[in-house]
Amino acid sequence: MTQLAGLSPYPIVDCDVHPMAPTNSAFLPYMSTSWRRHFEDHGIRAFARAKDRYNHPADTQRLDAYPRAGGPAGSDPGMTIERHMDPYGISLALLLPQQPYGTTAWGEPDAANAFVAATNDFFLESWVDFDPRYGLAVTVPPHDPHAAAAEIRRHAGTPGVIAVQLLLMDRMLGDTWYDPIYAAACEAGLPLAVHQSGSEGCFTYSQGPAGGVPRSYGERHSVLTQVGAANVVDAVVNGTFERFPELKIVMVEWGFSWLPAVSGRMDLFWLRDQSQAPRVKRLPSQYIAEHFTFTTQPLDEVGRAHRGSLFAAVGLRDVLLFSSDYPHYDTDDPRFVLGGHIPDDFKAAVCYENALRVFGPGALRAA
Amino acid sequence: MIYDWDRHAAVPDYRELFPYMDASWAKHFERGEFLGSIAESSNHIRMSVRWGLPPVSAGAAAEADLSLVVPHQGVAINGWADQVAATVFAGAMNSYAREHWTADRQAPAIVVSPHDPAWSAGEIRRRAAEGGFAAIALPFGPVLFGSAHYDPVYAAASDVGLPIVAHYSGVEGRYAGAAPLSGGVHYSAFSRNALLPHLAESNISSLAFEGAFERFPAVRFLFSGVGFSWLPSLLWRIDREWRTFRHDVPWVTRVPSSYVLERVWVTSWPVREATLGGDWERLFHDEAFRGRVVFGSHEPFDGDSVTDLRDQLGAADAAQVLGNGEGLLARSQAVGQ
Repeated sequence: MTQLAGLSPYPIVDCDVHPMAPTNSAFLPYMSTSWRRHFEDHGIRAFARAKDRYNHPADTQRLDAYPRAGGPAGSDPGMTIERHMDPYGISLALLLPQQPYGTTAWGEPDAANAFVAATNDFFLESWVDFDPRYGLAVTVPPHDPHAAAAEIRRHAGTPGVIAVQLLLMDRMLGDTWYDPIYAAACEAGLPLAVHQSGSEGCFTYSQGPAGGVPRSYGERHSVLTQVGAANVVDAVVNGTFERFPELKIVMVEWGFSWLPAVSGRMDLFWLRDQSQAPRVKRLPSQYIAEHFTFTTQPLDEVGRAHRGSLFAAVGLRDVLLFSSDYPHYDTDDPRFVLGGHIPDDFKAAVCYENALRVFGPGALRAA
Repeated sequence: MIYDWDRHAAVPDYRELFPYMDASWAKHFERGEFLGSIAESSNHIRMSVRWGLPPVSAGAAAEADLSLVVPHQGVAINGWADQVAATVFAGAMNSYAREHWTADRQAPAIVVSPHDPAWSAGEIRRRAAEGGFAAIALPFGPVLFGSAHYDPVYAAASDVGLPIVAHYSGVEGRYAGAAPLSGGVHYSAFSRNALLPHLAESNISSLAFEGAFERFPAVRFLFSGVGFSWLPSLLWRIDREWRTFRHDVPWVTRVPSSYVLERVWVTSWPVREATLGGDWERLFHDEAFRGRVVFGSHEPFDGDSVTDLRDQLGAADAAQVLGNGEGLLARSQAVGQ
């Protein structure tokens, strides 16, 4: 493919690209002998969604992202450059490895830590070192916050590490359980990235949507955004940003069109009775605007009549980050998003300005 | 015309329900532990701080041509473990409501149980035959509204021509077995209150994706007390997911928002939630969305008066919202039916 001219006059930062290892055994060389033997004996569940509960009606991956030589979609760093980065002129991809998501269905904290640490080393060596346009979110599982903090410190200052991907189980972002993780992330100058893992609504120890159990994959996907919204509310209400004024959280693939309604409702209730939320010291929407950013994919497919309305929300331009979700089935084609849907006066902010404010100018290693 | 679809009334003293139930059940509800639990609000969202403390009930809105009374004490059965006791309590509440809250321009909702659709269907038909009720209050249960579990309720609602009203009770996300809220555990009432709209979102999605709108084309739904500015975002999302996965739900034969924009309404309280950040002007300039919002004062609790509505929306938009409730009138009352 040739580069698509004129898609964006700005650098494009894609804040949701998923790299995969070709096989789970590719992680084994990055573990101690004892853990390698453990996983050789026990196997590795590297997916979180209960597939017998919410089976995808087709394939969760783009068929054109499977490497010719075999392996899962997104498992060839050269192919992702060739098929996704080069054609659209993407200057930086935030890599969010998804094989660690499986640990949100695990019960063994030490095993989860050993496995996820191995994935971090694998993706640093195989992807970050492969091309300077790749920036990694090192992943930490939620089972043991002190171990997670140590893993963050192990990678602090590593070139190409631009964020911390925090996985969630039952505890929401406002829980003080995460304070060691937040302290380490702030100390390292790294934002958190929080992406759905697939476990949402599946297990007794995972978070889920309101109201009960959706029946089908599409219905579940319609209300999955609620988990992201609930965590935003929880972080604000529990005073997270009063404790960590430097903390930045990137909410990836949770949507954003719901944000004004949630912000407005929180603000109104807080203005009415501040005693209900004693850890909140100022307007909830101010915390959200200062500490959270939200990625564009999956972009709501509003008709032309509503497109202006979607983007006219107060402050939205300053909290949106472009994302594609490559190589998943519902990848937002950059041509689709940047070519026609994002308003012209949003483009610089959404393509790169907001991202560099969150990840720091050093994230653009290829520049 | 002015319709207020969200007013509340309460039984001032629990003992006033005893004449409407068997003596053995009255004995059951007289137990001290039960009363302690419902009298102390703890960190409930529960609308009245305590049972029996004023204000407990709102009369008919002076300006309104019809006021719907939602007995919020009855709706709270969605958190009960004893689902038989829940039907006894709801039945007694309905008898009390018919005697005390039915007036010329005021009508109560029939409280039914999400746990017992067969009993609920019978109760709907019994009460509709008695007359005096304007809606069916279906509390949020642990099963989403689109499930065939509720088909007997919807069949009865179709037959009697009354809309289904879903209003939170305050135990959602708190009592095990009641409808959960989004995310994980929310310890504070503030968080749960902020996230209550998700209950409406999930149940509307469920109605759409499970084909309930196809199975029961005559049933109308009102989601009450949970705001409304979230509605456009929800409709954009369910339409997108339907386009992607429509082969997985072939019983949904058209774009799901089209059902919602015909059969679902939402109440206006708290209207300032939509004006604070400009959402009313940004989203509800569209007639399709604006037409779904009906006035609900939420009196006698923290709510909006007709004047508040006019102050926030302006005279023209307020007039439309005040009149939108006509679409929820009993089929025999509605103009053109």
